[in-house]
Amino acid sequence: MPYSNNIQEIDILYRTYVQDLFAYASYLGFERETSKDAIQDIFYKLCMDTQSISRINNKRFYLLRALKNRLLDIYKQTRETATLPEDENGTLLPFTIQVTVEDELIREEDRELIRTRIGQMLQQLTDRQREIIYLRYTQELSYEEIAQLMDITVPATRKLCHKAITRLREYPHLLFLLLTTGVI
Amino acid sequence: MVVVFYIETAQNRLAMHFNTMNMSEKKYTDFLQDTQFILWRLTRDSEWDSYWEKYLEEHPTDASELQKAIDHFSSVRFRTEKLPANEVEQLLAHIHQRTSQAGKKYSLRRRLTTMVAAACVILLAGTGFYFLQSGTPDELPFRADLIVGENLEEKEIYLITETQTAAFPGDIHIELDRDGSATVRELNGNNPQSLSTAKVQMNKLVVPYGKQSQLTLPDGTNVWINSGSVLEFPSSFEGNNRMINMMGEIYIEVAKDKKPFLVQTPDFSVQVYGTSFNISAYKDNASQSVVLVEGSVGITATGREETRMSPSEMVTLAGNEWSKTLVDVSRYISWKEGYLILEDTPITEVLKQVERFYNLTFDIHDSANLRERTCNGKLYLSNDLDNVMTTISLLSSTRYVRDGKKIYIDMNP
Repeated sequence: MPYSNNIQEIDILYRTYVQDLFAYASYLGFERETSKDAIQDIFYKLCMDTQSISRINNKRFYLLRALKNRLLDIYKQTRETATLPEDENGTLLPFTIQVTVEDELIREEDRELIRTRIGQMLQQLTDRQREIIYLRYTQELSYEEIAQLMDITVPATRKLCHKAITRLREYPHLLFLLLTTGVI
Repeated sequence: MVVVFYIETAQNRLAMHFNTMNMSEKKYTDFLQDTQFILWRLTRDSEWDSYWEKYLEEHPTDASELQKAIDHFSSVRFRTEKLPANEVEQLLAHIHQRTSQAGKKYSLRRRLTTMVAAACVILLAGTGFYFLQSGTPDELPFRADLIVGENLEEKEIYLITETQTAAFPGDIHIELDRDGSATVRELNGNNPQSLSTAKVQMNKLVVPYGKQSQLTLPDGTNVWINSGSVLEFPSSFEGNNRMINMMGEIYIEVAKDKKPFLVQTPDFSVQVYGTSFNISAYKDNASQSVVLVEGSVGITATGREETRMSPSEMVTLAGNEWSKTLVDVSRYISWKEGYLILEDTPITEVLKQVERFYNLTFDIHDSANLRERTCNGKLYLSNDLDNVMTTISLLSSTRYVRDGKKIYIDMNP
């Protein structure tokens, strides 16, 4: 049953990444059922083209990108029907993450401190910046992969960063400004 | 690119930051509140590593507090809403369902083209045999609500010809040429092998539990051989008819030819008048059966008149009792596509099938509790037994635990 071999591999991929994919979709503000549909769609596509799996190097990155593309398609469709302003790349999509501190051994007051401080900082970032932080920290993607996933060109980003850093020189105490001025 | 943290400014930043941070000793809580520290930990940016190395060179006494801050930070997560386990499984089942529906369209198309050549397809579930399955689960204190299963030794598929015996570790597809040579492809992708087969004598294909095979006869007839079956076949049909012998279960699509086709099992024979059908004749099943998919067949046994069958009919043979019923054919032939269709199927029946597919044995005991426990849905016979057992547990509201070669099914989880 050669069919089963590939299906088995897809099952493993599914079980490994389904929670990550579901979380990513909900951070992007999608409803529970929409998120599940999108996940179903991308795995269905994989099942129909089982050859492609062997060609994928970073499966995590592949799945996150496939999911985001699928979600953007869904997003655009609903935009069209709602006649809302165009937002081709989903730049208006929210990205909401909340911090938790999982280690029970850490003193409650320290946990609270970490939660609050990181929470404050994340709040000052733009949605896309939060998305980058998430993709770096939780998904451990490389900057190259993030740029590809978020459809940002490398030179344009550099230019924006440069502007922000120049400003930072003038206000050394406000280092976090770098990440609050909508650089990315 | 999102390198927010710039090489050309690294020195500046370093100087700036050292100025803003007091030279006095820091506590880990100070680091945890420091934006630069947080960004470093969040982005794991290697460019910042050198910054903190430098910092430590200049403030060696802060090392332990910095480490403590790093350790504390490592438990930072972003809150996620988890998809509950049952929804995870449901979603996976939907994916499989969509895939198999799409796959069915494909294989139906393929089958229709084959059908032109194949006048008949037979599903023969014939007599199984004990000798392939040995060993029983170790004795355990009997509990009515617990089924214990055991994974048996893996066995190879044997192809026995006049001159040689070849063993194959994985599922195979054998194709016979008109000149009597056989090409054997292992379905896990090894290079095809050529073998010469017996022209006059019968060749024998032994497919143990846990394996399946496919055979294309020289006349173009295709036979799918289920786990725990033996098939005997010639490499060319020289006589007045085309005859094969079988025990176990086969699905067969008989190619159109002037010579009649005959399938012989130890207890009965099926004469093909242009058909596709499934025969199930396992010895450990109380009953044997023939399911007709297409065309027409007749079943005979010594001392009995021929019973003719029409498509979608199943003839069940339990001893001398033969009965004919109308059935949903797909249920009986789905095994060759790698899944089982379950409709109010008792869990005992499901486990029996799983035993054959995966070469296991369960200590299935007959009890009312078990008989009432039925499964509905589609069971994919993937290579991963855990996937299969998980699905069975879900379909039957039981719980299973795997411990090495042993499987425990708890009926009252």
